[in-house]
Amino acid sequence: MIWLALALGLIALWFWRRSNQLRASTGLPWRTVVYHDTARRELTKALFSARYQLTGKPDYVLADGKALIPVEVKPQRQATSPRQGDILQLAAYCLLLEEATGVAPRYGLLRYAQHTFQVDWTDQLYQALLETLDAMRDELELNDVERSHEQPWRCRACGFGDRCTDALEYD
Amino acid sequence: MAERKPIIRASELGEYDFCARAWWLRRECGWEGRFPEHLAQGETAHQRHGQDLQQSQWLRTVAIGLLLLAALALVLA
Ligand code: SF4
Repeated sequence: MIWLALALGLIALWFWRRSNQLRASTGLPWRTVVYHDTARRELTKALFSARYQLTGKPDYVLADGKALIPVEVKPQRQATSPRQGDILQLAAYCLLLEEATGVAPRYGLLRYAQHTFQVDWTDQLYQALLETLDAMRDELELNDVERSHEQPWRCRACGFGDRCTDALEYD
Repeated sequence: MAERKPIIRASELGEYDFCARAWWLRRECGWEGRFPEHLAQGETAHQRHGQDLQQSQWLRTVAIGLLLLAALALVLA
């Protein structure tokens, strides 16, 4: 029996180490995953806020006591600091979760290819989100919208670069 | 009755920040980008990430189960 216990213990240790390695590779902490959408399951319903007319599904929601942590994964993005657009997307999930549960997340997580960023859900970010939503809705009133940048790399990386009349010159 | 504002998806915020025109072309004109393979690659990478996360959870559960069994074997020894 002692040999059996020893064997089981060693196998358990191997499984434990492997689970740690895998979790480290995902860049996410050991928190309970209460929801995940990476399999793009048909049945998972998007969150919706009637008040803000905002909808969306985070890739994961982790448990943080009574609060929740939304997670957005951009597995192909290589960057050492989070992009503003991704921060705003994560902020939208924070707002949606706050609306849905009545408890504000303290922060959300952005996972890029190599880095995980913690984005705090602050009043400042809330204001920036509302301002952006207002700006977008203003743009929707227009018959055409101009580009919002002066960076040729964006047009080169853009899926509409070949047809867009606003595209910056290539190369 | 108050006028309904257009519904915005959270993912649109990233598109809008990248380029307001690109966001608008997709949303209002229904344009599709010329790099559908990027979308497919992104989807695959997302799925792999999800599988790794689930597997890590599963391996840890099995490890705990095995440790309990080992403890039981010790007690019975
Ligand atoms: S090609 Fe047009 S839509 Fe695309 S990034 Fe450039 S300006 Fe924006």
